[in-house]
Amino acid sequence: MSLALTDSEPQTADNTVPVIRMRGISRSFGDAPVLRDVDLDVQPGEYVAIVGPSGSGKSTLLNVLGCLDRPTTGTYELDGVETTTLGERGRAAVRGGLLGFVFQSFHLLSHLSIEDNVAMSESYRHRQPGTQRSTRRERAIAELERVGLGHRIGYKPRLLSGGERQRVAIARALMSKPALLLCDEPTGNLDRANTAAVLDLFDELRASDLITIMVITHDGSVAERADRVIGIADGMVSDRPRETS
Amino acid sequence: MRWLPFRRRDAADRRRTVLRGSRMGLNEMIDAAVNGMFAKPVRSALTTLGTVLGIGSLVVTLGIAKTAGAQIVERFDALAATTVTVEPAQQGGGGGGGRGNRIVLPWDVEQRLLPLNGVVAAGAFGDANTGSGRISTNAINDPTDRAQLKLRVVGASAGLFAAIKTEPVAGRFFDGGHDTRADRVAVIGQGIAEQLGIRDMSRRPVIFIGEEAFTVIGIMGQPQRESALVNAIIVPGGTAAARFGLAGPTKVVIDTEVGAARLIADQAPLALRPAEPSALRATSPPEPQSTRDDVSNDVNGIFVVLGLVSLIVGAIGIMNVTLVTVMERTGEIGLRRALGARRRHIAAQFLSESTTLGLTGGIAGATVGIIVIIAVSAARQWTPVLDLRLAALAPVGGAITGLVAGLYPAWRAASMEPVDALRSGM
Repeated sequence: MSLALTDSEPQTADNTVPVIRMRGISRSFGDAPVLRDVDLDVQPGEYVAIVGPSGSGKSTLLNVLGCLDRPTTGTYELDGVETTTLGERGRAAVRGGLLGFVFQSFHLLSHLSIEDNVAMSESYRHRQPGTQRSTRRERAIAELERVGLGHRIGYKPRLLSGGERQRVAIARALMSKPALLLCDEPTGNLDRANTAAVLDLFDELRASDLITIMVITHDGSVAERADRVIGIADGMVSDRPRETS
Repeated sequence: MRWLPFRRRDAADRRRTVLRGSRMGLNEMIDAAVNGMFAKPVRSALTTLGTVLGIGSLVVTLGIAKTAGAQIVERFDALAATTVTVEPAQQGGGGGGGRGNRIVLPWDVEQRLLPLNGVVAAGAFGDANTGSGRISTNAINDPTDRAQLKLRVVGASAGLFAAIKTEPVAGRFFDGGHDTRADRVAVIGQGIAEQLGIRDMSRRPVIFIGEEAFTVIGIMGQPQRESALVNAIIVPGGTAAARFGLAGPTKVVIDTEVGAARLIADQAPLALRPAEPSALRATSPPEPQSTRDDVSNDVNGIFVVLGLVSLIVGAIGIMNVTLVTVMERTGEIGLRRALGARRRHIAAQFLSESTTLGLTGGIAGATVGIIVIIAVSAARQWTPVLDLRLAALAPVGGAITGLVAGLYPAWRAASMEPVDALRSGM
């Protein structure tokens, strides 16, 4: 097992371990650099929006953050775990144990009920011996009730609205009690009312579970509600000042 | 920051989880396989059709071959298992047409053998030496007459016809009276009758063996035993002794009850020659099991090849459909990888799906095969014979077919990078 915690956990002044600590992260495809020397710290419970034009490197940054892709150089500690030295097994464990993903197109399996979609995220995690399938299902139902879909138990995804599907996807991401929720255009397919509902849900999750949320978005209303807005252009990352109304 | 204690506890839990690595249990694998199979039930059913046909063909061919083989052997056995022949132990020990050989077999075999429990019929015969005498239907010796034949003439006891299981197709067979009186009567085979142009027994046709005239009293059908006798002219033993100097029979044929052949073979030499039973050699039927196995193996060999070809076609079908499924479910593969699945988990999922498809096809194929065997057997009034091991192994064969067929698609699925798979969408 190549997983290891960092020797000395860097802490902030208020004694918290950063959820994300990136240093000198670069990612190139062939000779073309997409991310350049990215340094990034994100604190627990922060809500960070990543904005930038198409092709600026937002998705590549999200893939590296989600351990779906390896950086070419640099170090990336996620919740105190150095991820760049991990093998395939360790990276899979990090994805399953520390991360939650919410995608623009929901990525729900149409042939499964919504509670089975949510419970599926537990399939690859280590559980206590004797953990029953029914326990997983009960937890999945609890997460669905938490996102306001208790009345839709047993439904297939195709019977739900776009906003409800995205809430199912969020419930699925919450099953692993992630340290970091990575959202790729989570409101891209939603109307204004559903967008507001999803953003309200993010606020509730931050308040109740202190989950760190990072959102890639082109939607100004999504970025507006973030604690921090990070701009990315030509692979370079910089904090953007919040617009004050 | 009043939430910190909870936050730290959660973080510790998460790290412990990560340190343990990701895993996939058997339940999850079975769930994924069954869910994958029922995601597109019609396609899954059509996919299993190849395996159903392959396994079904194998079961049907092996079962029908075994059933038919048993049927063939059963019919063969029924005759072979009830036949005992007795001959002199040494060649030249029979009548031999009165050439001075030692006579070891008597003519009165019916009296000696019928009292034995298990003997149904018995008869004896020996070849008569007619010299250069030809057979014809007129007394004039005309070398150009195409109806003049050189044929085998046999002297026989009256019980021979029953022993060799033949029936008269015209007229009748001779009896003990003809034998005792040495009447010049003959029974000829059907083929000889046609050659000699003899059809109507009411006109009491006559044939000449050399210069001796014999009245044909019957035409014999094809005997089930000693089939060569259909091409012989059979005269009573007493007649053959008197006219052609046949000193005694050279062979005794015994028809026994089923299961009595071995016993009769032991007893017959003593009954026929009490003073010197060792001068005779009784032959009992071969072991029927080996004959059955030989026939079954010959038939099986052909059909097993056909069944295997069907199975290979079924496997290719599963492989193709699984490969298409992998391509269609690229987004799902990406999602599962994002949720913590390792390459081996993805491979295991698709392998378990293809194996489940194969297993289902195997069970359905075995069921269909058994039904077909029973239906065919019922239609043909055969006794269905099926090796139970075959019925049990057929689903295993289907599962192995599915497993092998899923290897390449599973490897393709496991090779996908999560980023690429997610990009393809769902």
